[in-house]
Amino acid sequence: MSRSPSPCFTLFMPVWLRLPRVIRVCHGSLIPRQKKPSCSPACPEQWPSPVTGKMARKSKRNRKPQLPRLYLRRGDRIKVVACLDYALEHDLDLTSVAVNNLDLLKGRERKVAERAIHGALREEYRNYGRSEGDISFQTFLTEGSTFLRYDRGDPETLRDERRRVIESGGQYPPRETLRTTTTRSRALAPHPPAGSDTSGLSLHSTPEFEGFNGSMAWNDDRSGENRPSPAAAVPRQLLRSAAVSPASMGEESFPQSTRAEEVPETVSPQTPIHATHEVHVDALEKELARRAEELKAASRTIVQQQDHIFTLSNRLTAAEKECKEIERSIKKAAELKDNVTVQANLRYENSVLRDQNIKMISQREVISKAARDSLVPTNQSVREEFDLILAGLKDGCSSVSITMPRVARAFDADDLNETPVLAWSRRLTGLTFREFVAGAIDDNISDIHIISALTATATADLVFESSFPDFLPRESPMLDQYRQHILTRGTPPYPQAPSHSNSNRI
Amino acid sequence: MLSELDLLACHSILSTPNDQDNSNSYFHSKILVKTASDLSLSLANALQGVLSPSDDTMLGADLEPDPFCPQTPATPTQEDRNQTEPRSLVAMAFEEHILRALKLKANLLLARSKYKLVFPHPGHRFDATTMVRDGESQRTGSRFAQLNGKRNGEQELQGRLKVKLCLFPGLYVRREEVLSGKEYGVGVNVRNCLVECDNFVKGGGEEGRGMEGFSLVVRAVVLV
Repeated sequence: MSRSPSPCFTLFMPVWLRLPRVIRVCHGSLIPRQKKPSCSPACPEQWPSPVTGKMARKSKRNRKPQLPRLYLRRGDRIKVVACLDYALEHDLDLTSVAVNNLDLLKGRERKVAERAIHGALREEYRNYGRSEGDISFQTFLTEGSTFLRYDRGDPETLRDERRRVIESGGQYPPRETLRTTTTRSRALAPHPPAGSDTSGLSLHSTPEFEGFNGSMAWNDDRSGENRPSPAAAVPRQLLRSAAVSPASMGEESFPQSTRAEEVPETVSPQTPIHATHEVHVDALEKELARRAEELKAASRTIVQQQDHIFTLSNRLTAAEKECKEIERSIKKAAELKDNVTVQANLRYENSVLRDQNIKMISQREVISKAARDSLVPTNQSVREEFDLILAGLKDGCSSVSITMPRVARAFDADDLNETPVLAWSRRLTGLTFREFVAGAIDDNISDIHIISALTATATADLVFESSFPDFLPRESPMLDQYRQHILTRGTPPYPQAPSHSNSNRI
Repeated sequence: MLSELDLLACHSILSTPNDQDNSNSYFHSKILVKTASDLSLSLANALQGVLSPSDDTMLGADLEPDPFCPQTPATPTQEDRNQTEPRSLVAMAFEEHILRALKLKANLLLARSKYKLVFPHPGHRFDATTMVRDGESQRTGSRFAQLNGKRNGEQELQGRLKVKLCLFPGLYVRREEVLSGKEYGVGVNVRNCLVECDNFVKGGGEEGRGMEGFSLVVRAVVLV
């Protein structure tokens, strides 16, 4: 395409110049199919009048061999109809732009391309246009072309004519439905590049083509010189994109719109568009709800992670401060390491603290001793008690009759048996009972005194030197386990409890 | 901590008032009385050949049936009376002083101290600082010893006195070392922290043997 157009071709020049290439691309991409698909909703030939049964077989026999059928994907149809919308929007002749430009093609190729474009328009008309009883597709096409051929000089007249056409038909669906289509395409299309065309025309009328890699088109064909107007460039892009192979177009240029549009087509080609829209809206709402839940969960996770990060940062800050303090202390210690005065002061403080510690320990011992002594009788009370015990002992001895000589002989016979009396006698005098009694009689000691002394010895043995009240040897399995637990945990095994003689145990 | 807790626990056991008699604890009103009765009976059994009830009226009075309770069940036979009643009567005579001794022993439990009873043997020289003659109270004897100790003649007289018989032993005490701070912890026996019931050192009837660290509390009552 080394041919440079003259400036007089302001609007249609790029279209005219590029249409052959477009159609070439279109011809290469619109792949003819020899076999009729079983039930393909994308087949435009089946949508207007599906033929079945004998009539179909008759028509096959009578008719001439038909042209290979073309199949456009939904995305491609949208692009074709968007081209129509663009033409209406910018008062371009639809026939000149889209259809008559196919004149460069001849024969079968032209027919194939024309059929593809007409099929797409027909389908769009069927879905979004007026009912078939009101107006035919041909009338719709003629009406649009006639309107587009109207005088373009007077905007007011043009607006009135549009209003008239709309009112005569009750509605003017192609424009609005295409608006809907383009809006959806805009929503599903990726964001435009930063260097994309920002003119008011392209922004307002063809937002869906902002992400259509338009800059690539400029650089591809014209290398930046004789830059065509957007009004002419966009239809070229439309047709080109519509003519590209369905697989590549659907996946590269409009992947999301293609996926979004496949849903209603799989339901039924005859389903009204509002039903498909509802299904689509429901799916989108579900997807939106799911995404909202995911967003909430992600937000919560983010908040938790932020809190954790905040805590860790605080710890890190505190640790850094401590590290600085330690470093400062180390530096100070290193500086004062050889300072004799500081060392002397430290030694003095150490000695003072040690003295204070010793004083506190001694005070604690004194306090504990005082508390313990408060529970213990004083020495004076002990003396008084001893006097009373002795007095009671004497009273007891005086209240019984004593037969000393006879008994002394009796106790002599029991010397070998170590009777308690003999033990008491030895404890008292260091002699046997007979020797003790004999010596006492020789010293003119009365029987009461002898028995008193013996009873006092017995009292010392039975009462004071017994283990009464011994709480420890009481049999208590639970207490034994408790003690064993304390011993194994807190102290090494302690020696066995001292065995108490049966005479001392109470 | 364990020592103080055990001390307070023992004090609580010894001094908790009885439900029926708020003036005395269960320990004093029940356990001590029963123990005193048992010990006095043991004493009576040990001295059964020496001691007997003083007169028959005392025995007969106790053997008469209670007029207010004529149908006393399990009335002992005459043979049983002859075997047991004299001992119980003798035991009753010593029960009072044994009960008092038990109370003193229980009160001395709470002191972390070792006590020792010393019986001066006959023939030992009388020492007024550690002995007191029979008939003198502990305070009077002490004052007498202090007053007369300055007189050389009486001091010589006391030095010539010898003990004939010890009527009641003298009491000595030794303060147990309180566990210092470094001794608390591992290696300290649990028993060292508990209240020691057998805090009276056994044996050692003679003075001067194993008396290191002991100090006099009560002087012995002797006959000279």
